[in-house]
Amino acid sequence: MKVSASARRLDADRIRALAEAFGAEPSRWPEADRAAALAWLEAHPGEGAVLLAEARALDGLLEAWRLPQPAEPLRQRVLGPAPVVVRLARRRSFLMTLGGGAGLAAACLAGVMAAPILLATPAPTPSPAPPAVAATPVGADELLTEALAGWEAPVGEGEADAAS
Amino acid sequence: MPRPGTETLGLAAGAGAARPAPASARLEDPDADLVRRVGRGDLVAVRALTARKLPRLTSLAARMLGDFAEAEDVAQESLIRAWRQAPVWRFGEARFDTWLHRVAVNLCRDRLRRRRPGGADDLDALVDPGPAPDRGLEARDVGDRVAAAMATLPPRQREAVVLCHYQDLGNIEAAVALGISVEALESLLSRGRRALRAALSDLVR
Repeated sequence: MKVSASARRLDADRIRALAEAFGAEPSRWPEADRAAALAWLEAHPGEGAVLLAEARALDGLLEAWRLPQPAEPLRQRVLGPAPVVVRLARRRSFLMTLGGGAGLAAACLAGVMAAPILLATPAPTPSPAPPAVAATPVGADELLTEALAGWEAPVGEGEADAAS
Repeated sequence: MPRPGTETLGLAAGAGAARPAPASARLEDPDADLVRRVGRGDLVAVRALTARKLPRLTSLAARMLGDFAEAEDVAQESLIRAWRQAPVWRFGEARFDTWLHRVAVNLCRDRLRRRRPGGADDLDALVDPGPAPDRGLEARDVGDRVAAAMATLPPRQREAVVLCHYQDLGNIEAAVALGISVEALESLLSRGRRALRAALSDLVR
């Protein structure tokens, strides 16, 4: 079945299609169709009731399949890794936020530090001297990561305790 | 399909994705405040978000997989990804619940794909053991029949029915969660419900 929300005409066929797909409860129908569908049903109560009857019967059957709610032990098990996961996620987010700026800052700092050396250095000779090592953004990120290894994002431990 | 947990909420290319679902999911997100607090590391919010989502996720996965133990694993993995996502969540692009459903659906798809062919879903076991107080034992029997009928649906049709009927997602959210167009979703729903009606025809009065 292929329908186009923009092109379709809301009539009995469309009401039937909506009921077949989404069930008899208009609150489950697509928002784009709902107001017009409700108006149609109000204008055609008898025909509408017939159109929706079959879908309503199936809806009732589907409701009979109930599942038990998760037990408290599952909730506790799921929450077990939460403090560590949340802390690591915050740390990663913090590093991602700093990453671009730190790389730029490190590159600028490297340029400032290298300037006097470059000015005092005679013209390069063709000898195969080892290349100068400059602070790259990647290096800066590594240093930053190392420096922040012990940093822990403040988490609401106190609030959590208070709520438990 | 993206690796579960790396999902974006754009629509999948390919059949059924001719017209993207409208992005009305941008309007309001009832989970926004909790997600912000989780992103700031508030463990009270983590507990609240978990309490809000765990029943929905376990129900979704149980109905998809037919196995409670697996459903609990999927729910836990989905929530861990939610906590990781919270600090970098981009508000206003989609509802967090829609993204979370997409994560869970993809985790379920992965598990179904890994199953041996012919491995039967044991959806019969997935019925609340307590009889509904207002309907007695008959509801349990009907629930068993519905579970069995759902188990016979093709996975995509089952996903559509579970998301729209049992998870109460709107058509746009469900389409986004499944990575399909709203038209494709409506088609899956129609075929799925038609098959269910045929399987349960002796009960449809």
